[in-house]
Amino acid sequence: MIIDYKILVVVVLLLWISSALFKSRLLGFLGSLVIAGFLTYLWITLGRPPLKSLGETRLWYALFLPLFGLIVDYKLKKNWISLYAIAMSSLFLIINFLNPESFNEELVPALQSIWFIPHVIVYMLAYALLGLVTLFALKALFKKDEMDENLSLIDSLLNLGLSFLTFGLLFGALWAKEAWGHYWSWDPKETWAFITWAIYLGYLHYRHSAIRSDFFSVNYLLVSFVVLMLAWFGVNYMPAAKSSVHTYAIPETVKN
Amino acid sequence: MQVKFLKGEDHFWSFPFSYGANLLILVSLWIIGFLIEYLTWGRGVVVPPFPYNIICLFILFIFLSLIRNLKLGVWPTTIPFSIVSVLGFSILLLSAAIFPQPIHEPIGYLKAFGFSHITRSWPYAFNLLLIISSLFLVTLKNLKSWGFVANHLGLLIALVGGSFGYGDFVRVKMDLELSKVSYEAYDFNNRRAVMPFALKLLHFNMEEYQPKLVIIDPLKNIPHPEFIKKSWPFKEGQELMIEGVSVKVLKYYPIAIASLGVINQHYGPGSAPVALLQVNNTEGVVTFGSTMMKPSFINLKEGLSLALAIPKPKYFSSEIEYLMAETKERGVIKTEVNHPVNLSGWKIYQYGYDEKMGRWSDKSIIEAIFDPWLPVTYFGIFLMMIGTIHLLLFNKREKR
Repeated sequence: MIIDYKILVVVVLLLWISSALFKSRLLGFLGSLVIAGFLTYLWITLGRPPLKSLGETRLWYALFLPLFGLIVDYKLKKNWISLYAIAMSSLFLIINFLNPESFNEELVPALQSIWFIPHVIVYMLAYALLGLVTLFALKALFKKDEMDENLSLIDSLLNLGLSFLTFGLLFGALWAKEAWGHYWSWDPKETWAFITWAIYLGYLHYRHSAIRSDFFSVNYLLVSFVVLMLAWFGVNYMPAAKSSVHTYAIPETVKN
Repeated sequence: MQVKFLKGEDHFWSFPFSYGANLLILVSLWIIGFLIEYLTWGRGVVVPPFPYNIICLFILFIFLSLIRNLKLGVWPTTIPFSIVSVLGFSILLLSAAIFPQPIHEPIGYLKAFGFSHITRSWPYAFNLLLIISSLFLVTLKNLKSWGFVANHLGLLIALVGGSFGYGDFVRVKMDLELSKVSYEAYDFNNRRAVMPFALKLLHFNMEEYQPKLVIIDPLKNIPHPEFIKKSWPFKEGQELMIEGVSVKVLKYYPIAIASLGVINQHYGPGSAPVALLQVNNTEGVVTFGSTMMKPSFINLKEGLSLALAIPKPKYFSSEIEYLMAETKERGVIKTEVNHPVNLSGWKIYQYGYDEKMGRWSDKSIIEAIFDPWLPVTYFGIFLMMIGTIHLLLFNKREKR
């Protein structure tokens, strides 16, 4: 371990709890800055982009989500959106705290590609935006009188999130062709990524329909986020995971 | 604010069809597809090669163009149709997403109905045809919007390239051995074919990362479940604290053979990384073994032993001499992961090697792929990217 991971989590959580208590967006931003600093340090020390493991991608999520929350807060002149985003990011940091990883500089040949960085980062941006969409959907569910306003914001954020999701999917296909021979092999991770993309695409089309239900829209988004989580983490726990090139094997210690 | 239906539906089958009607039609097509699978012993769909795949595609497009102003042609352009067909497609894919899709499996009900090869099954093919038809018709209807066309036509072209183009797609592997000539390849069904070129492996090169220390269960000789995610990098001369125990790395040999406690540096097959450690005043050799030596561990404390984890490959490549059958052209190519090489319309990939021999592998497995429809799919992907940029730039919700 390079730096005690747990110290980072504690520092950021303290900053974010203070941000919630004092309703300070600056403290929220500082928390994200600390994560950004850690990721930079990790990148330099490891000599590779820290985008490989689930824990590393959770850090990027915890970085982007509050930043998007802060931007939306600033544009709409509110202060609660970033707090919701920070709360969700804190959850991911706590998951990291409970599942410590030892960072190593190893990058298998398949990951040594110019596509590695754009593919993963664009996906983390998409996940963060769609996470924010989900938070708004939850709020819309509980505050039905603000439904119009919430849905309007959701639709804008979703267009952005879906755009990044599409780029992530397409970058992945182009990379797969160079690394594994075919742009699409229905690998479990690819299949779940496609399902996630299709489900959010379905929402976009639904919102263009002349006949649509706000209540259904909001609930649809909550289900969509569950699918997103399955694509991000759930794949590793499914029976199909063993045949996936996206999951990481247990270290072997015997060669014979 | 709830948007109400503008006019009441007369009955379930009123045009334009509702979500329920679309779903019923889709599920009916699935059932027909599953029945076909069953009646053909789970053989799946075989996409015909050129020119039959192009002929089928043109027949489909001509048919769709002719019906585009009829109700049958307007129906796939409705939003309920598009949502139901795409989400339905996703549901079918769940079987691929959750269960492994084995290629060689005995006939059971999973194979008989197509669930074990869902992406090559009839229900999948019918569903995909609905999506392709919808994309074609909806593009014809909205030619004025460049963003709309880019998105929908892009996806259409990409899907057509991947599905109809599959009839001409060839993916085979070749096992190359040092200084031996190979011209035979095999596919995933182990069917053999002669290639239009012969290959000879000149040199296989591999670099590995330095192995790390891990904790194993000495009784079962497997990684200890409590320490699976933990590993300790080390350097010669370093003293580490592992689980409260002092471990000194006395010596480290990246390439050696250890036998009866004696370590000899040896560059060649059979050698592997070997570390000499001192734990609690006891010296011991640690290695994961090779074709010429057994793995060896050292006791850390009760119930825990230290082992070297087999390192991940950092880089591997093959130098291959080729001879074209027709033109008799000769040359040398180098295959690396992420850097495939073009050879007479085929793309050659570094697939694998003999993992038992590791860096001393005298065998290189390459994959040769022939995909003439690839430019079609790439064009579709390119259009989709343009369409996505349109979505990003003109991110405006239609006003209520």
